[in-house]
Amino acid sequence: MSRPAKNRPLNPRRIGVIATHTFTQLVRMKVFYFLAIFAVIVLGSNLFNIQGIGRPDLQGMDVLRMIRSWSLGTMTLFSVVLGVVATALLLPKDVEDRTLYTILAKPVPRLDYLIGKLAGVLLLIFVSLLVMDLLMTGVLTIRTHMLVAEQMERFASWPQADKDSLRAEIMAQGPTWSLHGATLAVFMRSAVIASTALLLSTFSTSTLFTTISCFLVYFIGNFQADARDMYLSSGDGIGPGGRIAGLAVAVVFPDFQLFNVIDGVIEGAALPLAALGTLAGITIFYVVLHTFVSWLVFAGKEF
Amino acid sequence: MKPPRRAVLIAFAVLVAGGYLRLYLEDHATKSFRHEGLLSEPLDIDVREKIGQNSAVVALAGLRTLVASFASLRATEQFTNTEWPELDESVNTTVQLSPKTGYYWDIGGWHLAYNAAAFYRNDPHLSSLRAEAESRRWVTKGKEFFERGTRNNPDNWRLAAALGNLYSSAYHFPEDEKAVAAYSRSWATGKADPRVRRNLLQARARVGEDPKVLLAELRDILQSDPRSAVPSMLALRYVLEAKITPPDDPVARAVQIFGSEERALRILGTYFTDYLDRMPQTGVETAIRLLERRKGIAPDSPESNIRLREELSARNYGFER
Repeated sequence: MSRPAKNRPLNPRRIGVIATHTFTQLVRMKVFYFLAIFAVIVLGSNLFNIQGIGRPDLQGMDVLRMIRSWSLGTMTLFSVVLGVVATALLLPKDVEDRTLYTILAKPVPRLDYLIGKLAGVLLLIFVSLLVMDLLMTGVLTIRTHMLVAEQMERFASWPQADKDSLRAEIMAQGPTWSLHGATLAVFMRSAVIASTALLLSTFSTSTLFTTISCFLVYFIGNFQADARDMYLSSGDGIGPGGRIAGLAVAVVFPDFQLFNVIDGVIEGAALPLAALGTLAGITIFYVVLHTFVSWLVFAGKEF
Repeated sequence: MKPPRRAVLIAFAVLVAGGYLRLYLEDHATKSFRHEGLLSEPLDIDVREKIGQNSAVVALAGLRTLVASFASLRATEQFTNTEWPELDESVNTTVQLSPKTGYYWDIGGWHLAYNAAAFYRNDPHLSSLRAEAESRRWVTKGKEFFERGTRNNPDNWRLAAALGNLYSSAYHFPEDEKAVAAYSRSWATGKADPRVRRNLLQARARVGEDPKVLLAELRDILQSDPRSAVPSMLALRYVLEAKITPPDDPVARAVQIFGSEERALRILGTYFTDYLDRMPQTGVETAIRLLERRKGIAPDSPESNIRLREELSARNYGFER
């Protein structure tokens, strides 16, 4: 009777244990304090009741857009910073605390260790974004209903069809499924940046180097689409050198500009499920690729 | 703790191969997202310079709409301080950062065409000729701004309607044919509220379209939506009917349309005295004279609409074209 090998990789239970431990480890670093700052920002954005002068039917609409814009902007900042810093910290911290030796001395495949660590970071970001999304939705719902009530009172004499049109327009600026989709897109962007940080941290020996390089990758990743265009377009003015450089940037760096669909949602566009599916597919591709490449490097590393 | 060089090389090769695999997929996704209006076009260098290095970095790092919010806040402050050239730059930057936000176009165009133009028109430091020229320049800026806004947001009925209102406005160098085009674009979205259709009909009347066609459409509006029987529509109906078949008894027709002599005089009087509105006036003066005579109001009496219009016209506020 043969028994399965104990160190068979991709064991969900083992990955779960490492992920939970990583999550707890990060929570103890008090990162959730950021949620208080987020709450202040969301409530602060609520106070910018600035325009609408001369156009009473537009009055108050800017506040709803401001809440959406500031909330999703803060979520992006928070998730990117946390994705980079938390992931860059993990491996060196485990080496420093010598927990890595204890873990690797056991029949824990290095792939499971890496996946578990990444999953822990992503779990933390997901929980934080969920709380922030709930806060944003709450504030936006209250404000939208207040605005509808105000406007309906102001334009009580309007024909019902006109009032319905105005109501629908205000409600579209409030909480929508597309807005939750945008939060999911923020999470996906942070998943890609966290997996990039994981990859970089397997190469580097310093947290600072990983963090700085990762932010550079993030910044360049926002231009990746331009580099890709340079390679793919057969337009004039781009020589073979330029095209090769474009190709190099496009294949090495992740495309973070794709996740800027959140700007479209803030501007009022609907986020179709198909678009979210495409983003999810691309995110999974990046996370799997980066984790696999990290494992290729990490597997041969001696501690 | 360095990883073996061979492993690093293999890892890099896998990374590049994976990157090449996603190249075309990402290109397709980017084009598709841009087509759906989810992604904006890349930020041009001109905007990057205007918003400054720090804001450009933030905008390029996926926070364009956030930077647009700040640019919009800056425009509000410049509006308060009446810094119009600076405001012009700020509103343009805002819409370049966030071109699909109708609100920014709406408020920006309003600042340029209405607020800045009014400021220069009433600027005591300028000669009347210069004030007029400056005011016209800012109205033109506002019109161009709204035009760009409607081109960027063809589905936004509010923007096109706001442009139509601006082209129709007696106080902003009206261009009636362009107003017709703007209102038509707004109505064609299928989302506009009934006021836009009424405004469109009025704009078409101003450019002198066939009264038979207009009257047929007006009847259709009144039949499909009885709430559209507002004073301006009723007055237009009277004029169009008078153009097609001049009434033998203007008072009887006015009563038939407006319901009573009292109401007919009130509505036609307002329509008649608002001469800056440039609406067709066929038969209106005759009806008013007859209605006023029946009420015992002489044409030179202070209550008379005939006298009021003459006085308003003589005062000429400088808006008559």
